[in-house]
Amino acid sequence: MTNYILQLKDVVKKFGGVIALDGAQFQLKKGEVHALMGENGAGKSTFIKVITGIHKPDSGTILLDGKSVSFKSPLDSEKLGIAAIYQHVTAFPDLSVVENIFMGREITTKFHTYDWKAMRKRAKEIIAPLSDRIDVSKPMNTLSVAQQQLVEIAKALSREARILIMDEPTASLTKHECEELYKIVDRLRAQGVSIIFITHKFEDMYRVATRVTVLRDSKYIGTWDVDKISNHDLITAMVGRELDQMYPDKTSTIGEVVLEVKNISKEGYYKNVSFNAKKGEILALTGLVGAGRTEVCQSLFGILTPDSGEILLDKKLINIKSPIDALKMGIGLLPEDRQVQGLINELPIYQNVTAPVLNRFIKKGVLSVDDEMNKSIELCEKIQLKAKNIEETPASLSGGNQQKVVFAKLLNCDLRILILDEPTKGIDVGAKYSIYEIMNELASKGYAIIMVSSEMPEVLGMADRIVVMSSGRVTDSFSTKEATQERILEASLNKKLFEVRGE
Amino acid sequence: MAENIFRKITQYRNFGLLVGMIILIILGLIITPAMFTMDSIISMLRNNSIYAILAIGMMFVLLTGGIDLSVGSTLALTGVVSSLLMSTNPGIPAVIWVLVSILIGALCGFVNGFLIGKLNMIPMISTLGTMYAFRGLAFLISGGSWLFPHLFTPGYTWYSGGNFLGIYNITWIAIILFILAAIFLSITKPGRRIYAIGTSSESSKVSGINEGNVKILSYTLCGALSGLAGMLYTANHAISFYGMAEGFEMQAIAICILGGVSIVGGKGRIDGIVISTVMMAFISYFISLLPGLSVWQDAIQGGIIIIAVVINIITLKMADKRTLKEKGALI
Repeated sequence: MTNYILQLKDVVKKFGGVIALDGAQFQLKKGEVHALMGENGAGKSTFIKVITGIHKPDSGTILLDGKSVSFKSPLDSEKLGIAAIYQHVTAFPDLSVVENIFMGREITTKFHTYDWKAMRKRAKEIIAPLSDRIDVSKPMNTLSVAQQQLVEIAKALSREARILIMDEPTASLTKHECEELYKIVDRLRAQGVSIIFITHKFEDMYRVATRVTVLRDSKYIGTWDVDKISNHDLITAMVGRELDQMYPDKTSTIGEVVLEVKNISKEGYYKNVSFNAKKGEILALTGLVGAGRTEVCQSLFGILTPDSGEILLDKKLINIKSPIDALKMGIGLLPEDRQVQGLINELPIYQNVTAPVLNRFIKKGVLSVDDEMNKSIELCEKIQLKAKNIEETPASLSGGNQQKVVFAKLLNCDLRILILDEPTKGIDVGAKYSIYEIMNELASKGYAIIMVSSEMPEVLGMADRIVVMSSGRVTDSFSTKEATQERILEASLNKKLFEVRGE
Repeated sequence: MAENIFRKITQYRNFGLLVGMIILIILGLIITPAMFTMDSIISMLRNNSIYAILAIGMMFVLLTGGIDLSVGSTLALTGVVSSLLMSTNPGIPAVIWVLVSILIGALCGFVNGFLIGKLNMIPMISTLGTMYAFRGLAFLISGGSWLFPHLFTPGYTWYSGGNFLGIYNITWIAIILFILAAIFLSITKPGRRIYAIGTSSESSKVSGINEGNVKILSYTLCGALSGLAGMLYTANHAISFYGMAEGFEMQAIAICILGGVSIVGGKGRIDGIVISTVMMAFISYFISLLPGLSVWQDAIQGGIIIIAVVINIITLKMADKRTLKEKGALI
C-alpha cells in the first residue's frame, strides 16, 4: 500500500512537434496541499489537463491509489474523485447557483421532474460552510468572481471529490477574499481532501501548502517541503536558466522619445500607467498574464479608450478613438493571436500583405494586381519569408513564417511605432531567431517598438528597457543593464500591491 | 408593502413588453372602439393560435442556440398528409390524424436534430435544406392539387372551430401547450438542459451533458409542434395545399425575438412568448381595422421587432456595464 493518493511518473505530452510536458513527476499525499509553481508556459496547464483526462499523455503513467489509470475524458477522472477548478470559471452564467452545482447530476422526483426543494436544500448545505453570503437561487452572473469560485468548489464537493485541483484560484481575488479561501482550503484538507494548488504567489504557497513542486520549460525541476526551501532558491528553481546565444546582437541607435503615456487609467483593467517609447528602441512590457499589458496596448491602438490620462505623440496630445486613427498616426499592432486577428486565412499571402493599403494599388478605379504582387514580393523578400508561392493561403506556412506575413503587412503601412503582442508565441526556437532579427532591423530603421512578452529570457535578450506590470499597475521599470530575472519576477509578483488591493 | 409589489412588477423581465402591449390595446380602444368586441377578439386569438404553437417549438430550438427554418414546410407537409388521409378515410376518428401529424412532424424534427446534433451541421444550413425538402415532399404527396372545404369532416374541423366556454378549441390547445412548455422548461431535466447547452456548451461538456441528444430532443419537439400546427391549420381554414404557411417560420422567430428569446441561446421564457404572441396579434388586428393602413402591416411589424431588439441590446449593455463595475473592484 502506498501513502500517495496520486502519482505521475515520467509523463510526456506532445502537441505536434512541441513538447508541453517532458517527463513530469508528481506525488500527492492523502490530505496534503501541494503547491505547483512555475512561470507562464512552464507546463502547468498541460499538467492539470493530463490529470483530469482532457489530454491523454503520450507516455508515462498516472497512478491513483497505487493503481495505474487512464482517462478518456474528464468524466472518467471525475468518477474516480478528481475535480478541477479552472482559472476561468466554467459556469452557466444565466442559471442559478443551485443549477450550476447540480447540472449534469440533477436530483429528480419520481415524475422525472426537478426536485427543486431537495436540490436547494442540498446546495445550501454544501455552500453554508464555504460562505454565508451566497443566495443559492440567484443567477451565477450576479455573483462576484470570488463567490463564483466558491460555487465551483461546492460543485466539486457535491461530486465527492477526493482530489481537488485549483488553477490559480487567487489570481483575481482581493486580499480579504484570499484569506477566506485559505481558510476553506485548510478546512478541506482537515476533511481529508488532497489539493493541488497552482499559483504564482509565494504568500499562497506559504499560507496553504506543505510541499511545492516546480516545473520549468515543460520539465520537472523538483519537489521540496515548503518550510525547507528559501524564497531565493525557489525563484532560482523557477527561472534558473542560462541565456544562451538565442538573441541577435543589436545595432540600432536610440533616439528621442516618440510616444509618451502619462497616467492612463481604465476602470477594471489598469491604473495610472506611465511609460515612454523611444525611436530605435525596443521597450518590453512584461508581467504575468492578466497584469493588464494587453489592455494597455489595446488602448494605444484604439481598441479600448482610457478613462483618464494622456497619450502624447511627438509631444503633442493625441486622441486615439479607433484602430483606423492609430494607423493614421503611425501606430501599428501585431496582435497576440495571429490566426484570428493577424491574418485572413482565406486570402492568399500577397493579399494579406496588401490588405491594409489596398487603395494604393487602385488606378482609375481598377485594382492593379500586378502592382499588388510586386509590392508583396518586395516586402516578403525583405523579411525573408519562406513560402513556395505567395498565391497560396497563409495556412500552408509554419508559425514563424505566418508571423512574418503579419510583419510584412505592418511594414506596408507607414508606421513609426510598432506594438508587438507576444510576437514569438507558439513559434519554435529556430524561427524565433529570425523574428528577433526582423525586430532588430526594424529598430535600427528607426521604428519605436513596444514588445509585450511573458517570456523572461526574451525580454532580457531583446529589450533595451523593461516596464513591469502587475495587477493593472506599473510596478517597476529599468534598463536591461540593471535587470535580472529575479528583479522582474519580484516586480511581477509585487507584494505591496496586494495591500493596496486588499482594502 | 405596496411599494414592494410595485418594485417586483417593474423588475419583471417582460415589464417593457407588457407595458407596450397595454399601450397598444388602449390606443386601439381609443381609435376604433366600436370594433373591439368580444367576438372579434376571440376570432383574432383563433387566427393567431397557429403562430403561438409554432413559436413554442421555435423557442426550444432558439434556446439551444440554433434555428429552425423548416417549420412552415413541416406544417405544410403534415397538413397535406393528414387532410389527405382524412378525406380518403372519413370514417376514422379525427384524433388519429392529430396523432399522425404530430408523429410526422416529430420525424421531420428528428431529421433536423440528427443533422445538427450528430453530424454537427450548421442549423441555418441544414434546416434551409429540409425547408425545401419537406415542402417538396408535400408537393409530391398532394400532386400539387388542393383540398376544398366540402371534403373536410366536421370531426376534423372541430379541433379548430369547436368551442368551449366561448373560446375556440384551437386557442385552448395553444393555451394548454403554453402551460406544458412552461412546466417542461422550468422543472424537467431535459428542459433545463436545453438552457444549459444554450448558455455554455463548454460548461455542459464538463458537466457531462450529451449536447447532441439535447439538440435532437429540442428539434424533435419543435417538429412535433409544427406537425400538430399542420393538422390544426388545415382544420382551421378547411383548406389544404402544399404551398400553405410559407414564411410562418419567420413569424415564429419574430414572436420569439420580440418575446425576449436570445437568438444565441440560453435566454428566454414562456411568459415572454405569451405576451409577444398576443401583442403581435393585436398589432396585425389593429392595423387591419384602420383603412389604408393594412398595406403597411409587414413594415410596421418589422419596425416593432427592430425597436424591441434595439431596446434589448441597450438594456443588455447597461447590465454588462453594471456587472463590470461590480466586478471591476479589481483595481
